[in-house]
Amino acid sequence: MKKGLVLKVMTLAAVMLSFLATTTTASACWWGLYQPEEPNSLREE
Amino acid sequence: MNRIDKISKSFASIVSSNLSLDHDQEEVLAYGAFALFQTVLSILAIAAFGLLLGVLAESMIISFAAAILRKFSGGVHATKPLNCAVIGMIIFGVLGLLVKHLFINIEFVYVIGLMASEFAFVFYVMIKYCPVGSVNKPLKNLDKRKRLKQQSLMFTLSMLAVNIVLTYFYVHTNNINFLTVAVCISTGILWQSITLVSLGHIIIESLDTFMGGTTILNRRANK
Repeated sequence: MKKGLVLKVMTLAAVMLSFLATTTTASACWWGLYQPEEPNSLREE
Repeated sequence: MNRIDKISKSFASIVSSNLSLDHDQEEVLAYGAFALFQTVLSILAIAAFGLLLGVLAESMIISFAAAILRKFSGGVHATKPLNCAVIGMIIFGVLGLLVKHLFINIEFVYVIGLMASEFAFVFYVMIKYCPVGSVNKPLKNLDKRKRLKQQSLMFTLSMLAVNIVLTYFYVHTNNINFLTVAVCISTGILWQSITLVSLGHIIIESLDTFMGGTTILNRRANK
């Protein structure tokens, strides 16, 4: 029961963070004044 | 590696190991977590400093207007996430003070002139320079550059429309809050457009270098 809940929370976190990462990559830069290096799988050549 | 980076990577590692994700997916999660933490930290820093200076609403509106335009237009960057938060905090705090104690207190006709000049400058910069890439995000894809320029212009145009409506409400209700929001929006996008030109680069890079960053050193090394 507890493990199932943890898994659901982790899945939700993964979906949200992936969405955030993808939308950030689609824009020109970061929200603030710092731009970290993009992950290889999201990088546009 | 900085602290936010470490926390993001640890968080991504925990989620990834629980869901049995591969390395690429873990990197994406770490990038997303970094985006979340850095954004929250920047907003909290600006809000705290704005509160301290008594310009919370002004600095938040200015920063949101600038940050949204920044998503489309790019611009100069600090070399460390902490420098980013501190520079943002100082710049938006100072701009908040300028709006509250200077721009709003001048004669209405001059406020209109100021906003019109700001928008003219922003449109000029957007057409000529936008988007501006960085070392970590060079923006070489021509289609993407074209799309970002269009989005920047559309956002600026929509902010101009919002400012006209707010000014109209101010004229008809004499409620200074409408004019304050309008001036904050135009100041925010003005600041963002300045970060696309040499003056903004000098300001950000000087502050970054003062705080131990390496933008100026990097630029010299690349010459």
